[in-house]
Amino acid sequence: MIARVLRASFWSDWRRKLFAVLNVALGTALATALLNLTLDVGDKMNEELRGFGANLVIVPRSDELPLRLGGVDFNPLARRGGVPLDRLRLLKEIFWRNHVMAFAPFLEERVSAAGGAVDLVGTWFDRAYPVLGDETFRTGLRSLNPWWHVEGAWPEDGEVESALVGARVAEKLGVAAGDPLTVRLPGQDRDARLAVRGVVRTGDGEDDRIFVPLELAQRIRGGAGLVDLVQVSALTAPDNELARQARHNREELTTRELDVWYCSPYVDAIAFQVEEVIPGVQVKPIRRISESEGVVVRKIQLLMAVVTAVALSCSGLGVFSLMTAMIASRRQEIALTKAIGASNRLLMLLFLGEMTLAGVVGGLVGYVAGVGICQLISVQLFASWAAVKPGVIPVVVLLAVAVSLGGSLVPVRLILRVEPSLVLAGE
Amino acid sequence: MSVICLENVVKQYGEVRALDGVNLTVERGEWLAIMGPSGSGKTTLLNLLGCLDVPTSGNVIIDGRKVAGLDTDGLTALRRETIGSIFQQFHLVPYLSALENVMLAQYFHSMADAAEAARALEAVGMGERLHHKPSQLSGGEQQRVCIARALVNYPAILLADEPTGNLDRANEEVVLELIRGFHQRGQTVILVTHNPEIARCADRMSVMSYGKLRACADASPAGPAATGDECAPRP
Ligand SMILES: Nc1ncnc2c1ncn2[C@@H]1O[C@H](COP(=O)(O)OP(=O)(O)OP(=O)(O)O)[C@@H](O)[C@H]1O
Ligand SMILES: [Mg+2]
Repeated sequence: MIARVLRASFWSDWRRKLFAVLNVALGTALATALLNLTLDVGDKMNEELRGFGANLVIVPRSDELPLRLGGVDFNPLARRGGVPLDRLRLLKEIFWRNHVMAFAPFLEERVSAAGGAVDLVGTWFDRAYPVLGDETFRTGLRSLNPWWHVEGAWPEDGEVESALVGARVAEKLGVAAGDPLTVRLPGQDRDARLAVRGVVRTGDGEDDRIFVPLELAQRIRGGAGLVDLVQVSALTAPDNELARQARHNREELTTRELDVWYCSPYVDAIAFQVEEVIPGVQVKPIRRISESEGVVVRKIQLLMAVVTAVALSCSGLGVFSLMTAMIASRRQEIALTKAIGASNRLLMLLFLGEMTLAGVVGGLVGYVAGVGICQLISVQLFASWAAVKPGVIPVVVLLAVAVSLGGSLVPVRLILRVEPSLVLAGE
Repeated sequence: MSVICLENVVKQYGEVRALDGVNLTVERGEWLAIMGPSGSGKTTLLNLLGCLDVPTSGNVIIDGRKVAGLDTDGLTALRRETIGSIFQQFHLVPYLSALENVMLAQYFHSMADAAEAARALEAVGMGERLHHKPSQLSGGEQQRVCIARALVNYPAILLADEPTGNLDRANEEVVLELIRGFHQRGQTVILVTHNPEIARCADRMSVMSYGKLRACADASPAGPAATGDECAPRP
């Protein structure tokens, strides 16, 4: 029954309480969105940065590396090393197979075209490559570099004499998508007539190359199923202290640390596992990306923490002013309840209790709104849904209650200053 | 054993000396009426008796307890345990029903008991109006709810500051009857009024004037109570 009285008291000022709830909800919504994004941003950034190319290259071990300078083989009689093409399947069978997003083999030959030398690179463009557990897996240059800007179309892997021409080569030779391009293949007394399907511009070394299906390059090389190198794009965890330690001195790690390292998707750990399954190769992380990733992610997380703190402080200030107004407007009532025997402590507890409730409700509303905002941001920035972490709920509700109570603690002391005699005298 | 004892009490509001050396002793079970012109200090005196305020100087002893030694919580506790108050402006919580207003006082005192609160309202003839809000009640009915609220915790002392000031004759009679009933059960009543007829219902009468309290011989059958040794606080 007394619960009804307390409830009536709660609802008597429902407008201000609604504002308090909204106020807390707003702050927590932002906090939730940022918290969720922060937890998610590591994965997301990784995925995003993966868009900027490979982060691992597989090359033959150095003692088996052919001595080649500028495409001219200075060691043609030596046993030609290479990466065994048929072993690439194992990339999708190691422990971290689901983190291996794409890969493409490369076989480079120097050819002449229109009297000049140009590098011809055999590769996969978008090859259907059924693997264990994923019959529809496709891989190649295209999934490795989804952001490449191609004028015209990507060549088909099945059409052996088609080509994707780098922008500078295309300019030099005066070809565009749809033109034919004649190249003279070394060691073969005939010209190959390639159909230029597209022109790619990356602003990097690719602009000076001609990409063709792997089979054409193999035909030139007379290859025995070996390629020069393989680029791999893998989702990796940003390097942390353990990853750095492992890189500099893996022997000094304890067995436990080594286990943790091995079972974490650090770029080195993945490289290590690839080396384990493909003999005669060396896997080099392209550190540039994976290192800066960690720094960027950490900076973003710090920024988000600061923004969250500011948002919550603003909510706290809002609660502060609402609470002040609420007590001012209920002075008469507070004075009366004091006159009929309510102690200061009880009244303060009642007000704080109401604000706790407002905090919980605001926290839950804010959480729902925050997840929505987070998804919006995620879709905008990363074009994918953020993973919702339910573990965030208690944290968020606690934060909301802390904000609500924090903002109320000072104004609630105004209750102490309400003199029952003055207010009853009818000011 | 006197239930209220004031010795040379002064209450100063800045320049204004609202109470100027008041001495007063009230015995348990007595009904005292206080009259006097507006601004003479009657409400100020009741505030001190009701532990809503503390004197600038002098001693106030309520139910054997010295008010001077108490902090805010102590004053609240003393008020809660011994005092019931009714006011000229009824002062009910507007969003609570009659029953809930009474229960609020129970809640602050000890624990809310709906049945007992309803009985208190029945005792003042408000049994039919338990669930009405103050705005749905007439002035006389609101004052009766206030009386029920003041009496529900069985206070030793009832303080009434012009309880009939806003009421017509009929309601005045009802309120007076309720106070009389309370008094007849042996409780102490201090009643401030402008109406000499009401004052005559009391055992004795005092007049407030310029912050000084003066016994008024004509009203009381018992005559003014002696002041003196009974004032010593309970050990
Ligand atoms: N809080 C206060 N601050 C300053 N002066 C006050 C205060 N309360 C009362 N006074 C002054 O003290 C004097 C006594 O006031 P009080 O309210 O006790 O008069 P009263 O006898 O109850 O008058 P009325 O019959 O009009 O209710 C008045 O001059 C009043 O202005
Ligand atoms: Mg008055």
